[in-house]
Formats: sequence, structure tokens, C-alpha cells
Amino acid sequence: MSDKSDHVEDTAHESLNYLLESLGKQLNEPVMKSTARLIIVISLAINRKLSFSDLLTITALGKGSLSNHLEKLQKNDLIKIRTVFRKNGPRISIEITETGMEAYRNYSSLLRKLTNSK
Amino acid sequence: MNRDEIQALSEHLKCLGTKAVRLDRYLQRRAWGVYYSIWAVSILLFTFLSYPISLIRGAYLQLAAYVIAYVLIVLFASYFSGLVFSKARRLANLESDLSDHQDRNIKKKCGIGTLVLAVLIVAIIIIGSDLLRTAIGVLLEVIILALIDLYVYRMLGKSLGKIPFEGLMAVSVFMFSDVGSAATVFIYRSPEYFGYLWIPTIFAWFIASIYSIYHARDELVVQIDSQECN
Repeated sequence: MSDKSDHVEDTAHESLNYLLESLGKQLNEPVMKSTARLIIVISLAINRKLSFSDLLTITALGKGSLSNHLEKLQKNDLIKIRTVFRKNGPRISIEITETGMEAYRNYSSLLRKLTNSK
Repeated sequence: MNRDEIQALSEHLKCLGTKAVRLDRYLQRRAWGVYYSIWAVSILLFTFLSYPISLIRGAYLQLAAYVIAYVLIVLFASYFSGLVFSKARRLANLESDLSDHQDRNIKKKCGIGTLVLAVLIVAIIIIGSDLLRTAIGVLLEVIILALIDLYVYRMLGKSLGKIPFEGLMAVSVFMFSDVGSAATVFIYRSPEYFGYLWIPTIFAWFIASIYSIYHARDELVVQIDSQECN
């Protein structure tokens, strides 16, 4: 009986570690250290597409810092950055990719697993 | 990972999610602002477009103009409503993941947008046809529009948590116009005054739109005191 529950716990830990590792790889930094990048991914997963200025407002990061985070997320294929030309000048639009949605789903599964493991 | 590490990770991820939800309310409130204005214009067109269309000569041409104009309005307004509602649903799903009482049925419960679109089309057919001259037609119209209003109220709650002033105003005035316009049909036995009772809704939704967009930034003030998640 005890062996069986140990096995279940080990499997749960393994799956947790796997999710953590994949999310960390996708974000290009350990999950425990990532705040801005994860918030960007979550916001984009909810809204699918946001402008650079919207992300500046909600993350409260500086332009340089946000560009740096976005560049890393784009490098990992989590987001797509596009410049859209409007009447009042060019606008940077950031869109989540399928890989980005996968990262969000990993985050969501992690949350559920952690809540259930309590 | 030991129990403490799991606990720390759980708190970190929850904190991030909660912060993202709070920040997202700014975008959601702004989107609701655009939603109110799109429906204010649509209600204005629904109600008063029939007058210029009735001036077109030829029954078939009039019917074609009526169908094309109303279908285009419904499609445009519904497409935008779908965008707002799906964002609200995704936010509600995240909130459910963050809560200890996870509600796996949210997706199912909120995913009745297609049904709402279908009943909306039925409501428009009733309003635009002779059915509005019958008691059953009027009752159907009141019920359908009231259900849509309740759905909007529910989605407002899902996406903004506490429904702001302009949301309550928009939903209440809509209900007033719905019941009031139907009452005029019963009282005067003619749909002649039906449109006038929708004027308060058109105004209220325009005001709600401006108020919502202007006050969307209030949602960001909440985050100043929020935890940093580090």
C-alpha cells in the first residue's frame, strides 16, 4: 500500500519537474526567477495580441527592459513581433504563437498540479 | 523537490497569475468600453435604420436593403462581442486555475456565445417583422433580450470581478428599455413607440463607453500595492 502511494507521489513529482523544466526552457530562465516574461506570456495568452505600449503599461517595465524580454521570447518562438503602419505612425504589435500557447498551457497545468498536490 | 520547495513554487506561480489577472482587468475594461460603443451604434441603427429603408421604392429592394443592412450590423457587432467574451472566458479560466476550488466547467458554461448570437438574430427578426405586432412576438423579444442582458452581466462579472458603475448602468438601462419598449407595444397596440424606449440605452451605452475607457487605468492603481512575486 505504502509502495503504491510512494510510486504515485514519485510520478507526480516527475511530471511536476518535467513541466517546470519545459516552462523554464521555453522562458529561457528558471521559472522561480521569471516574473516579467511569464506575465507577458499570460497576458498574451488571454488577449492573443497586444501592442508594445499596452505591454509597457501593464508590466510597468522600461522600454529597453521590455524589448529585451520580448526579444528573448521571440527567439524562443513564443511570440511574433510585427510592425503595423497606421495613420498616426508605426505601431508594434505582439502576438502569441502556438509555442507560446503551449508554454501558457504548461503554466496552467503546473498551477493545477500544485493546487491538487497540496 | 521537497514539500517546502513545492510550496514556494506554488506561491510564486499563483502570485504571478494573480498579478496578471489584475493587470489584465485594465485591458478588459477598455475592451468593454469599445463593446458598449459598438452596441450603442448598432442599437441606434437597429432602431432607426428601418425609417430610411422604408423610403426605398420596391418591396423586394426594400427587403434586400433591410436584410443586408441588419445582417451586416449583427455580424460586425457579434464578431466584436465574441472577441470580448472569449477574452473574458480565458481570464475566468485562469482565475479558476488560481483558485483552490477549480471550476472545470467554466469553459462549457461560458461557451454559449453561439447560442447568444442565434437568439440575437431571432430577436432582430422579431423586431423587424410583423411578429412585433403580436403578443407572443413581444413576449419572446422581451425574454430573449433579457437573457442576453443577463449573459452580458455574467461576462462582466467574469472579466472584471466587481462590476464597475458603468457596467451596472449599461445592463440596467438595457433591461429598462427592453421591458419598457415591450410595454408600449402592449399599451398602444402598435410598435410605433418601440424605438423611442431604446434611446436611453443608446445614450447610456455611449456614456458607459466613454467612462469605461477613461477609467480603465483605475484598474492599474490596484497593482501598486500588490506583491512583487519575487
